[in-house]
Amino acid sequence: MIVFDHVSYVYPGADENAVALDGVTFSVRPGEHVAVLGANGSGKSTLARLANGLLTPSAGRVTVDGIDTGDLARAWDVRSSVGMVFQDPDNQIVATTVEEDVAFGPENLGVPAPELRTRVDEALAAVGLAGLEAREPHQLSGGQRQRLAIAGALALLPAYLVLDEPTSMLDPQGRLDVLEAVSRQIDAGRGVLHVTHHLADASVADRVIVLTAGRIAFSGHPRGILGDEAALTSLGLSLPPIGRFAAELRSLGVPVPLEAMDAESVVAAL
Amino acid sequence: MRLALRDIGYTYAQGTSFAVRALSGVGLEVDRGELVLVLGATGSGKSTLLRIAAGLLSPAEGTVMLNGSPVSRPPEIIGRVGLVFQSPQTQLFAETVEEDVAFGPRNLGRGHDAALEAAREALERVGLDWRTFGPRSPFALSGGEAHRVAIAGVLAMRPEIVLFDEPTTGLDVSGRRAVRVIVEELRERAGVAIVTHDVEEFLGVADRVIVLSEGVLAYSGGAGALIDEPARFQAAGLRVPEVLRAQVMAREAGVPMTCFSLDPHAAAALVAGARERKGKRERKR
Amino acid sequence: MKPPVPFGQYVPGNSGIHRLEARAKMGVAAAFTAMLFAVEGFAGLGVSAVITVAAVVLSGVPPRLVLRGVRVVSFILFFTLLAHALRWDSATVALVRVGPLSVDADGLLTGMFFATRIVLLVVGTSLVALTTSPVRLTEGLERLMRPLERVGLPAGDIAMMLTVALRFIPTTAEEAEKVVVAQMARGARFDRGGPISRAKAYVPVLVPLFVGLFRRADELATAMESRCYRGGTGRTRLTERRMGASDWTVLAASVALMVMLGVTL
Repeated sequence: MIVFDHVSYVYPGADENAVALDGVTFSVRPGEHVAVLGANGSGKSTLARLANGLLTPSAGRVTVDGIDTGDLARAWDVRSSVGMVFQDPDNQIVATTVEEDVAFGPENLGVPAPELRTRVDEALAAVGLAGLEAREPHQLSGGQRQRLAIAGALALLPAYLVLDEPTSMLDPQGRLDVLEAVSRQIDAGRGVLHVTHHLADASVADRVIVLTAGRIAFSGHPRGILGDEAALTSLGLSLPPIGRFAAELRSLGVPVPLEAMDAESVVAAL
Repeated sequence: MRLALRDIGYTYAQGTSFAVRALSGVGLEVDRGELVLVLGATGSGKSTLLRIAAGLLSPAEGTVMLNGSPVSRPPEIIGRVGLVFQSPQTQLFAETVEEDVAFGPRNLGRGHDAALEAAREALERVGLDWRTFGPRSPFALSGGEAHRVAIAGVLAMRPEIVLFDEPTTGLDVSGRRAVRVIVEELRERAGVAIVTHDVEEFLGVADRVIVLSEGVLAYSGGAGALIDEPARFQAAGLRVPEVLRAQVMAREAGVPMTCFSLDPHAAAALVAGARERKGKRERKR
Repeated sequence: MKPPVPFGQYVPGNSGIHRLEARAKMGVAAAFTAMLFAVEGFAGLGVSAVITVAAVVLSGVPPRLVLRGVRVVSFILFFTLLAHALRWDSATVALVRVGPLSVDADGLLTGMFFATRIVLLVVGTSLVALTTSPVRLTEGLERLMRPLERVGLPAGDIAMMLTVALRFIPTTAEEAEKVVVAQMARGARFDRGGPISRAKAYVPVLVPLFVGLFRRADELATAMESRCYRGGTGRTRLTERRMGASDWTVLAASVALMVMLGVTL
């Protein structure tokens, strides 16, 4: 389990009052999908970086399966059990071919070559990129590159995936492909912490956390917040058109579920 | 002012083994006061078309016309046709916001004072107070502010036609809203063309739409006809907007829809109304 | 699909020389260089030239591309020839005489000897870069440097640096093109004025490009750290090309031949 226990964070050199995160408490269990919503500057990315020890809390504690992320002796255990995927796929691909990039993580851990091959093949198959092993990264589409980044994280065999706005720079098809790859990992039992500003991405989560100014403004099932347009607006979020469509249908007496955020789940209610 | 592209064709790396045909026989017209949407999947030739329209690339075939007369040297139209690139905030460079925004008008040969004047006016247009933001460093701004400063850098040239390439990619809710406001304000005094794969953001407010698919025109006409026939999106490799997809699925599920709408409220009324009619008919029986 | 970005001198191919392991090629090139400096007469140079031409033909690399490297050093060639051939106030039998300056046969021959040696050296060694992809070249260099880790040379880190640099060349080229076009859309011109104003015109391109590169470098470092990168030591490699039997044979045979030629000719 990833546990945030009253975590606060102030960036070094920043004003003491400019708290990026302020007393945040929550957890992510294996197999659980937790979405983190919030406007730019709400502290979402800081939260993601605290989850694998890239940053350590100014106050409070973050633990991953019982290991404190501040425990430097075990930093690499934490990082290999929490795979990170960032916003811009271009800035996380290090090697000149697809397969060598996926191998980068386990190579760092000193995994022997035959096992490296298995890990690379499995990770590429898991994100639907099998067959592209020898390609150069810049020959891939945006969605493929982001899935390559996911495969790179998976090759560490992490128990958790932390995704920091992985779809915001992708075209609609690329976004769907990435979301599908992520959902397969949740089914496989990995815990996922997905930072996003797409409400539709959050609608399929087990739990949604909304951050404003570094504090948790909401935490609960998506249906507790996604149907409430006024609350969303006050938190700097807005419903996508399909959400407004669903809300309008509800007000016209059609029993559309509150978390319905795609055509399928809205039409099912008709 | 009217910008018209006729029968445009373009091939990258012509004459080499890497030659890639990007556009064939594509037309685009943008008139003052119009908002034209250019839709297309990644690799459909949208960006090439934009570069040709902005005078940055000479078409291999076809003509670019300005107010009815052909443009002989494409760079002539730089400035009169402005192009805002995707993530334009990555092109800021000057020491102050004001100087950065004045870069365009200065390049076009406007005097120092005139360029500064134009920069200040452009900053106001994107909703930034020039007294506050003018003297700041463009590298000390928030993401949303930097994005608007970069748009101001194009508007300061006082273009009569403004082209946008994927203006909402990577932006959050407030950033998208700011772009919408800028576009709405612009179309009142200039022509606007927006290239995007984000169908939902602008289709509802566009006067005309062209859809590109693998370098050829797959559709050209009003937004209404496109909304009434969502299969056209799929044919061009585009995702059908979710609200529209829901209505199509509702019809397939037996709700007697007669027409579609992209506006969530109107669409909900259409679906609810059709559902009620169906209910009544069934009760009569 | 985008074509691979042509980069550096590498000319893709599938000749025996292309397939030879990078370390073997570097070894042969080193032996070749030593031989060139060891041979003393035109006979030795002639044999070296035959070997060079044979290698170029075997590699299948178009001679035009091989000679591109020679063009770069043409200036040096010219001066080498001149320095040896020209005599001041010489009493010997001259071929050409202009005032006190003269050119004689002896000097001309010496000049030609040294110039030819430079040409062969350039062609021979550039054949390594022409037939080996930058990735393989980096890998080969790393393996050659690895023994030096014991004396404190961070071979793994250097190799990682080279790999990352190679990986970002296409990305940076793409980005530079984007910024150039974007500034052109704002009326920037790169073809006006003298060299100084032209250089100045690139400021609006270079500043965003560097800012972008620094941001990338920062994000890349974060991503690498997240993927457990902690320096080059202790890393394993997915694909490690080994020196095969044929690589060793070619290397040993070439070195033996070249040492023999170098000593006898």
